[in-house]
Amino acid sequence: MPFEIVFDGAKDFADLIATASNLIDEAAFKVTEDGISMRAMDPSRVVLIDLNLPTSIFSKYDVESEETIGVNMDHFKKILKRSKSKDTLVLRKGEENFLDIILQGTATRKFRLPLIDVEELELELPELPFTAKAVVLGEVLKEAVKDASLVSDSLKFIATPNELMLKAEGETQEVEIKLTLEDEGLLDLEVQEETKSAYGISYLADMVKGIGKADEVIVQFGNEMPLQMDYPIRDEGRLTFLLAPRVEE
Amino acid sequence: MKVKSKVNPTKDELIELVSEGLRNEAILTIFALCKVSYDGRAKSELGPGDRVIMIKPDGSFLIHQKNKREPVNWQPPGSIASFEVKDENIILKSVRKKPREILEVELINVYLASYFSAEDYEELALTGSEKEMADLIFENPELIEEGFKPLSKEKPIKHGIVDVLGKDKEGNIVVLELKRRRADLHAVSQLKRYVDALKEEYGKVRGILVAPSLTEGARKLLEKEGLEFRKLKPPKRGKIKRGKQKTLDIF
Repeated sequence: MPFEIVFDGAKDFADLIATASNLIDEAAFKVTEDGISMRAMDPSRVVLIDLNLPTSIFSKYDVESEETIGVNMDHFKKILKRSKSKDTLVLRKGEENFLDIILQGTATRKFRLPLIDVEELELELPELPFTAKAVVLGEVLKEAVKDASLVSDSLKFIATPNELMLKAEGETQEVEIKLTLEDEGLLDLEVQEETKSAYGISYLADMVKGIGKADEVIVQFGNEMPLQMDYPIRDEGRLTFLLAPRVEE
Repeated sequence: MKVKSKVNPTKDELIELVSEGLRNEAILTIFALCKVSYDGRAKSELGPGDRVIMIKPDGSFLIHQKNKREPVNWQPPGSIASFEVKDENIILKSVRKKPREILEVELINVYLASYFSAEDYEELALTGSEKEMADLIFENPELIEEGFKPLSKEKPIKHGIVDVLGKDKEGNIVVLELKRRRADLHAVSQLKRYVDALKEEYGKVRGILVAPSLTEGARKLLEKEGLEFRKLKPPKRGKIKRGKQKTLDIF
């Protein structure tokens, strides 16, 4: 069924898709009256991505009936990368099996992307008994992942009631990043019990790539449990990642 | 659909299957009597014959004859595949942009056409690399000899890169050249070069070739040059990892 959706600030949308495309090759976007949603698991089944974009974040949202569109994420990303930050993005679909991606700026540029059949998986975002929750600035996570990648391929999250510590240990070198509520980078911390868990750096790097430095990111985890990371998109939208832990043998 | 195939397809069936396969980025495989022409850095013509044609989602385009391992004509990944209808026949086309190369396959008679939406995210895991041998030596230096202290991996020096540089218990500089397979003359001369280069700086330098085995020629040259050999096999994969990555399935 045809639809037309308009988003101001094409670059933000491009970042969003670029982040997701690091982890998945193709995605099924569900376009409904309430908004656009997408849930997918990366091929190694380590990361779950859950995207929710309510109609309120779009400047025009004209959808007649519910539809799922399959997109090659790499192609989608490359097209969106051509956008400028002031461009307005229009996503339009007619009766044919194509998605028109229109960038309106100094000129109107229309790209045509063939839609593909993507198997729709019934994935649940599980409710997990997390014992630690922190709200941190995007910048902190981005820098921590870069710091840690100097010395190791995994990053340990350690939460105590007054402190969040991120730690990476290599063969000879170590990095430690400490955050208390005194620090600008930590906005909130709720810890039920001391919680420790480690996660793969390469996955974390892909997850934080698209986060804005000033975004408030909600990080939740449990002992040797997955890490859930939520970040807002234009206040009402949300991108969630669930990352499986690394467990000591 | 994961797999779709048609034996002796009609022209319309073939068009449908090929366009669906290309659109869904599946692997297209066609058994056909065909003619091939190629124009690009060189030119070639291949008269009619029965061949297997394969188009992969990354643009790789392969035409196999009934013998030999390599395809008779091909295009690399990144080429763009399409088809056109000329008179009664369908022509498969693959264009590479830079350098510009065009491969055209005229399908005279198609015996089978199929596509396969393959999912495969694994990469070939090369086990027992020289890097893993170096890691193994760093964790267990006594594999080389008692008192051996590894200092650095892949250290660039004047004439190349030394796999492992260390010191023996007397404090002499030791150069290790690692080979994951039977080491040959070339490996020995490589080691010799590094030892000579470091001798200018450190005076006494020992060179040890570390490999699962040695060729006869290599053994003789090694003795002549006053270099040593230590037998070591590259480790099997999956030993040195920090924590095991879990999947989300168990949560």
